[in-house]
Amino acid sequence: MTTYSYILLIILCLSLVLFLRYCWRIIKSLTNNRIEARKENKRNLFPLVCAGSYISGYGEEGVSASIDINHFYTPEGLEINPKVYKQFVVTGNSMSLCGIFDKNLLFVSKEFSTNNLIDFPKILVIKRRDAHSKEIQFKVRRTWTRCAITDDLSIILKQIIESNKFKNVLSADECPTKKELIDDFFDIRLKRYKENFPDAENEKSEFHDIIISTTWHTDNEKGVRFSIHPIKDIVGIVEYSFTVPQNLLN
Amino acid sequence: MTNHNIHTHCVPIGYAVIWGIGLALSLFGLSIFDDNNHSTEFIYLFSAYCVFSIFLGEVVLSFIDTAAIHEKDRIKGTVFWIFARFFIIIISTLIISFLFYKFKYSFLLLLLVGIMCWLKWEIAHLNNNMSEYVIKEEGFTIIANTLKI
Repeated sequence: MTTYSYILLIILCLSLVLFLRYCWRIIKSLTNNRIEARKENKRNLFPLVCAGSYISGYGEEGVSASIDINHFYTPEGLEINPKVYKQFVVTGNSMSLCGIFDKNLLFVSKEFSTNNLIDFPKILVIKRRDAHSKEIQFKVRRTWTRCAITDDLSIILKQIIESNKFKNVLSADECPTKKELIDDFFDIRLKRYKENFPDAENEKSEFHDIIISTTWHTDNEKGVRFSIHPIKDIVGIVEYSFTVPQNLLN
Repeated sequence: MTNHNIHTHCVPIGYAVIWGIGLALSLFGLSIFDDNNHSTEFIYLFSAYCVFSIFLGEVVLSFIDTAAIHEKDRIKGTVFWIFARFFIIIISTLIISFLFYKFKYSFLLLLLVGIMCWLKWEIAHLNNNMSEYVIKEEGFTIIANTLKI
């Protein structure tokens, strides 16, 4: 063998060693990735939505069951196509009277139009106007009616309070008397709304059309209160709520 | 290094490198032994083993690629029958090579080529039928709560 052949042989052996080292590095990385991928396979990140008052200490997103691999059914047993809904993860138990609990996965219709707001009450996901970045950006509310800010709100409130469906709210321990609810609405909620949106009474204002919802406050105010939101802040109507198996969340 | 990167970048680079080594061997490898000190059988075996080694390198890469593609799937136990056959092929190759080198029967060289082709078939068959050897991860059935509106 010539010197040239020896050099060639050394180069080839060296290439082979480098190739094997390259494969080893890939395999090591692949093994770690597979463990992570298998773990994350059944879970996804979704935007968080707070039930009731804003709860601090959470980011914008929370973990819940993956919509790619898990199967979702209506209470009647019909399979749901998750792709046609937006998903949110609930924080807080303030919507438990509606059957929505902490860590539930919400399916909200993707195609929302104000024309869908015909029959009430409805459970809506609403954008939090005062949310900072890296905070929960949405809230979920039971909404009782839509109207204009210039309508006779005392009549509207009376209709809500006396409706059959509102009896459920009134019977809850956390609910104050009818008078307290109405006083709170006019003295605090309506006043605050008009302060925040001074042009709301102008018919052309985007804050003119409102929804009236109830919130179970878990902050300093404690108890059930009415609240007012501009229609433009509505993200969608909650169609389904799922209690995800605990072992999927850990 | 994500599995997607491994599939899209690392494995193709690996193939290119292994083919580079293969080409270098085929272009210059025989010149290493052109000093008439080696038997014809040795040169035959060297040629066959050059190609075979490159193909074994490809097998390694294709396994890595399969692992990256099916990162979330579980592999069925039946795939071990194929691995068992791989070992049979490799051991047979070594034994037949030794016999050919020792006894110089031409049919052993043909048998060697046939066995090497068998490995090519096994790996190509496995790659194209991988779906039969993996179990897709089954999800949970989750039923909606009744909303009390």
